[in-house]
Amino acid sequence: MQKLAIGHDQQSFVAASQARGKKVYDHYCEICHGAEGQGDGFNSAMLDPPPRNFADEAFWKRVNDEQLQTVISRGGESVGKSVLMPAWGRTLDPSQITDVIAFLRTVPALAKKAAAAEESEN
Amino acid sequence: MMDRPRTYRVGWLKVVLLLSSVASFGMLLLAAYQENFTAEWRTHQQEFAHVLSVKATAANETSAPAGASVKASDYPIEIRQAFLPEWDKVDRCITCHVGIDNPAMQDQPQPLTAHPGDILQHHSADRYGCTICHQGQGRATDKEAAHGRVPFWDEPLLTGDFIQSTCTQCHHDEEVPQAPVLNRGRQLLSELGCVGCHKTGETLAAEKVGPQLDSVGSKVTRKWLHKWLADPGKYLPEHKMPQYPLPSGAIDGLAAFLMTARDDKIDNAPQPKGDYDTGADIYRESQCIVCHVTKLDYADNPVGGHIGPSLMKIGNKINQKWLVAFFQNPHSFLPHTKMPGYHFSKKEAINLSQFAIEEWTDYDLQDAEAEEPALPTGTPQQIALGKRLFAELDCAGCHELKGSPAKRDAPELTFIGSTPVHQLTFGDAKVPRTTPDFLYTKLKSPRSLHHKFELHPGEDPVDAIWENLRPKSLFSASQSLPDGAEGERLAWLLEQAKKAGVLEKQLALPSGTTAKQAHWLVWALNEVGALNPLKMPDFQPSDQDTEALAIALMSLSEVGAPSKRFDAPRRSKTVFDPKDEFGKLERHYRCLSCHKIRSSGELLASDLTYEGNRVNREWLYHYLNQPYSMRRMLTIAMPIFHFPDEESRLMSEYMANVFVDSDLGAAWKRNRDKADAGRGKTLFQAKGCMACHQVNGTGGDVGPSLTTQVPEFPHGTWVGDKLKGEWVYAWLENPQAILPDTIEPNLGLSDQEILDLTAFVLSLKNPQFQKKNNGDDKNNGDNNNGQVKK
Repeated sequence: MQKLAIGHDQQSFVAASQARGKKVYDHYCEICHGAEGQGDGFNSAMLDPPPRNFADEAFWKRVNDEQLQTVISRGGESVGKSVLMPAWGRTLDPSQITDVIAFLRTVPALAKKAAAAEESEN
Repeated sequence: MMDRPRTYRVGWLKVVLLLSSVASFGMLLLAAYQENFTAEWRTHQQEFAHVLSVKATAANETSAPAGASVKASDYPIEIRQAFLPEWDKVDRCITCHVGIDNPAMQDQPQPLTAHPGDILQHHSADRYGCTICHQGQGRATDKEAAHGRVPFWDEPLLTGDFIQSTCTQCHHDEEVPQAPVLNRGRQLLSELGCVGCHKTGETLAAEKVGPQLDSVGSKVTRKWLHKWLADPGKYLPEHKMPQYPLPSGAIDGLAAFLMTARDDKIDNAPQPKGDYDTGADIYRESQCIVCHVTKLDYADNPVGGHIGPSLMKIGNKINQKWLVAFFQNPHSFLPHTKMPGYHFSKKEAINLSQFAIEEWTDYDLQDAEAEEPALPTGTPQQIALGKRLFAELDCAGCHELKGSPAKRDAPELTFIGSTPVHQLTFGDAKVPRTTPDFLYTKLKSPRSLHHKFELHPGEDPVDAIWENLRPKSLFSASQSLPDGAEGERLAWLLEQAKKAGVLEKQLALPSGTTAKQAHWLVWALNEVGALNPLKMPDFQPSDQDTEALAIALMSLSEVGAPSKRFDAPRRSKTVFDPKDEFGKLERHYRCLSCHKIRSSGELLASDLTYEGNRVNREWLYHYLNQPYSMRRMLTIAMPIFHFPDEESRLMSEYMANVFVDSDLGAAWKRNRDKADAGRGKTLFQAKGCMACHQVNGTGGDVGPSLTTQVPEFPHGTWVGDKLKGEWVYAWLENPQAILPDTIEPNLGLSDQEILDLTAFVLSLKNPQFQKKNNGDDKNNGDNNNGQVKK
């Protein structure tokens, strides 16, 4: 049965979700979590604890989408983390948060690619 | 006679008949089998049924309330369709896309997956089907045909952002919610001036996007005008005017004609020298950089706004006397400009123009130009030719010029999106024959879809060439075609083309037959683009802009909803244009170029719709006189207009009294006694507000600091000195209701929490001004709201 799944369409579907997520991320999250998701946004220097670095692969081994959905929609406080991460559940709708998570999952790979590119330049 | 025994002979035809009957029967069986057991859509539905039952089992195991278990065998395998008689549509897309309105299917691959986003909540699949928005062939039940990528199906499935082009069937507002690319495309159609030459129905406002030319002869130098008309990009990389491919004779004519548009008052005005440094101060106070590119950064990228033209190199083109007159009264030169009227005296205008000309001159270019020979003044013939060309090219589509009305005779675009594909001219271009492909290619490279002029056998070559020579104005002054031998007539044509400046003077017809000569002449004229060329200039839009424009053009369609009841409610768009004293001031200072008031204006600066609810009148009065930047990291602020005192009083009074909604934050006015600033302070910490807002130097830099210090401002600038309780309350209740794009999250605070936080925020007053503020309270009655109860 699975062979019927139309491969490239599914791919583009996921890519579209990531692209939508990136737009939402850029608008709401980037200022603290940074343009590349490495926790180094413009405002990060003002924050203690600092914002999450999404390039950290160990982090992705610990969390699943559901937990991320919770922390984004209900804030850091809801999972015993910093109050500096506000609750976005009344500002973003669940599908937007799903999109953001889809984008965040691409961050480690993007970071690796960027690091590799930098190395080859040096 | 004996009866011969009748032997039944099986003829070979009968064998064939039998075999073919058996074969046909076999094929029938096969077809029946395929249709009933292995059709594409059946397999999808079987897979869907399987997924449903797996999900139901999983839900039961985790004892989630998702419902009883579903057996795959219970799920009926059948053709499913949305029947929309009013739209004359039957959409069977849901036969394969079975999970389209089932959120549980979000994790499934195509075609079983759920529709992304929340759009089906407002456009349910049974009421709107699929092809109204997506296009494609709704009745088909196999993938290729349904998606419409088949011959003679003019409306194949729209891909990517092209889907947004169908929103306009029901959404008739200028801006369509959730269709940002469409909105951008429509904005570009106006901004690029497309609607100056093309009619587009009532949808898009036709405003002239280029400057008014009534005094252009007094404004610019002759040399500059020549160069600009020949190639604007060479003078200014960030130019807005597109290049028209014109022969040099045509440019001479146009320049000669435009240089006659002069203003004697400017030409004869005496002009003392200005002071650069004083001019530089005026430049900074006036915040020119908000609207104009005024410098290049280290990588040569333009820095500054794009509302007005770039100012780089204006020193190379402009007549200082014109600039001085313009600074004093810009609206008499450009009535529709977004540029505010400043209160510049003649002396200030001279100083500012001195700064502008010294600052924005390319001195290398100036030196090079000084060595070029002076251009002769235009002859009467050239001026007359320029006038004809101005009309032929419809320059008035973008530029106002007295005595030259716009024709707007380019192909009408009102229904371009629904024009049948076979009526679109693709030329020899290798692009798929679909409307989106046509529009995209045409916009990206207008000439790639154009048929090059060719001679057809049987027609008189001289007549055909003469008929198609462009620009027509260059030739209309000459006599009509002479009679004579074909060779002589061709030579005459060549002579005319040389005279008009279309072909080089040294060219001559090749020897040989007249047919060969005619083909040579066609080739030579095609090379310079003089044979039936496209009038449309090449705007060289980016890929992104091209797509947005193509989507906007696709939306200009004759196909619409079958009935008015499908029309989305129009959002009321009130134009803010009061005929009172404030309206006069608004028109002079052009507040709406940066501010939004109700649904008019731009959001470059704050929305003033509720300014009366938002800020204290006294603060506003001082702010108008001495504006400052709201963010620590921002150097851009409102220009210093040097409003006369009565004007800043009038504006602050007016905004305090008129830009008010009495319902906004009304709960604060009712319940402010129950508010406790002490509790609010604790909440401020607990909710992490300091992640974005600074208080006394601690906290983030995302939102404005709540304790901004502005030295020498005659009034407190802390948040409690500035904002009113009702507004803080309404903002905390739901920031997006006031400013949809703000990144301040809606924290879902309780009424009591909002009251306490508001009280805390209002308690943040600069102690230096406390005494003074208490005096002001009598005036606006809202400043003592933030008493700190301890």
